[in-house]
Amino acid sequence: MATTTPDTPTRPAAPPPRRRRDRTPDSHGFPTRRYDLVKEFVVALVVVTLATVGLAAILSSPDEQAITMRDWATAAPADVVATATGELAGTTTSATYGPPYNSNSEGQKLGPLPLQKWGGVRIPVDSAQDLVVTPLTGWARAPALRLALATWRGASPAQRTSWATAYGDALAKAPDGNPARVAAGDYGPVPAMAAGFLSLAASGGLEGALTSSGNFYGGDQTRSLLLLSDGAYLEDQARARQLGGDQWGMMNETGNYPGQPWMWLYTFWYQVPPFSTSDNADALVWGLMMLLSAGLLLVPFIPGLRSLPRWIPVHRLVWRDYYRRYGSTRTR
Amino acid sequence: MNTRSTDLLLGEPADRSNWTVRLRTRLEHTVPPGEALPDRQPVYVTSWIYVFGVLTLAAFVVILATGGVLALGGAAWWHTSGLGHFVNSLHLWSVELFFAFMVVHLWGKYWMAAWRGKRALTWMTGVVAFLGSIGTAFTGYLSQSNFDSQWIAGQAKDGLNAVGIGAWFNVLNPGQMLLWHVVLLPFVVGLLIVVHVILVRRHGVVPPIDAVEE
Amino acid sequence: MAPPASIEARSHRDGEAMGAPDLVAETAGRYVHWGVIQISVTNLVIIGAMLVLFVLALVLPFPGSHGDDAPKSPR
Repeated sequence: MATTTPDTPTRPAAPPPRRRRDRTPDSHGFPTRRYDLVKEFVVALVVVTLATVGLAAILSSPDEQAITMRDWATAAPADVVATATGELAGTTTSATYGPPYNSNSEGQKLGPLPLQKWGGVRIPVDSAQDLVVTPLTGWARAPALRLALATWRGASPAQRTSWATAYGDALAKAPDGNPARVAAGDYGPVPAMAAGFLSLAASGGLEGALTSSGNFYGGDQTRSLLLLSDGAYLEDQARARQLGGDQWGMMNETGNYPGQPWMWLYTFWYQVPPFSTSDNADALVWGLMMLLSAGLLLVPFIPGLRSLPRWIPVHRLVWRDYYRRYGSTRTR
Repeated sequence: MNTRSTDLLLGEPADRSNWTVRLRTRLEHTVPPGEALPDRQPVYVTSWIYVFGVLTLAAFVVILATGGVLALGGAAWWHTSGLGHFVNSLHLWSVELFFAFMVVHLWGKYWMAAWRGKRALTWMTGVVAFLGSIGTAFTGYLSQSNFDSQWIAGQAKDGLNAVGIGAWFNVLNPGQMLLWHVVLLPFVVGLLIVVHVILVRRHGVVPPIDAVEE
Repeated sequence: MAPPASIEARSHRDGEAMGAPDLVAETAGRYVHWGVIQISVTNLVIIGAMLVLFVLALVLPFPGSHGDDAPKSPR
């Protein structure tokens, strides 16, 4: 307690003006009504269980079988040959990807930040060697194919690229990409290797040969998926089902099944400029969505956004019973 | 009897250096007495919008249960068993209901400005749980071992690789994705939900905007 | 790279023998196209149902038991 001189009356300083949000009263200071929390939960559980069982029984769930390498080889053999050739030429998506698979590209940037590069090459995959040559070498028994592989092994990198690129170009020009109708040219062992690779795929043994874990048990399909993604077949199947990136595919499911409606905003950005035409689209969209997520997280602290519920009074519907009976600070 | 009674009798802590005492005291004061499982609620809780929180929670329980049954049969069971496929359907639809209820709950809580009165953390744990749920669903889609998984993996890798995350979180590795889906993410999301619910019980249901305390 | 001559796909049924994949464009499901927006009918129905649910939750009367209000708890 401060002491003062008798002829100087003191008055406590006015309290700082309280900000609106501090005026929320304690919820325990209100009249109460009967309530059974446990019963409410049990009722909710029963309702949800019944709804789930009903929906599952009537609508089921989709299960389109995975594409095997054999399926791919049977349905689109020219695509398999072209993809194998592209791996050998170093022109496929995986071959030119950059981190985390290799260093053959700088990768995407978020503004000035080379985020993809910062991730590092932590899942090293040499497309030509790991996706084609190694599995093929392990499988090849026919002397002609073994000779072709030996020729490849003995050639310089420049020679290999030259052969594979030439063959890839020739395939693209051939009717239907049919290897049997390719123009004559200097392709080295590449046609034999690509044809052998197609046979390997058709045999059903390619997935096993590609498994990244290098042992009996597999469990890591990185290489098989990279190879499949390098071809056109997987994407063609997906696009036919409206699953492509520029088809709002992130929200969708095969057939008429429910997809992921909650992904609407994430996939929206890919449909519009500047994202739809940017090489850094993935990084940009991710960055934007992180920002918006942070915004959602911090709503209680963002002026304007946190006051909107007051200005657009949806709450007057929610609490109309209470306001009618007890009024509010606006009516007193 | 217990040290807390002794506290009250003595008017001072019996043993402040005792970690057990400190933890117990802290836990006991997390929620006001009787508010963990209350049998009364404020009179302003009279709107159907209030049921969406508990509906979300109930859906989460059904998700865990159906996921647990799927785990009994293994990752590929549902491809070859009619019962397994039905359980998969249960799991899918409980997830759709979960998200639907959660988002309606979010809309309601926003328009009620439910973060008022020191409830910002309740809002924030809810948002993180929402985002975590999306991640959990994502790893679930990757674990279907079908065409959908193949395509989603191929696409998602580009998004994650572009920002460096893919180097650590390999969506092309089903073994890793399945374990994240079944172990790591449900645990984190579950923990967030528990904290979220405890916070609601701690602070009570937010009073109406412009309400006057009696 | 030229697209394959026949775009093929398969759908799974329990016990069906693995034959050559057969394409059905209908596996794409029904979609609504509106400008840049493309959305599946199913997703649209789900979102619509959620909005309806939200509005109903706001406007439907809640069975409050008036007269059973107790004064504020002594806590």
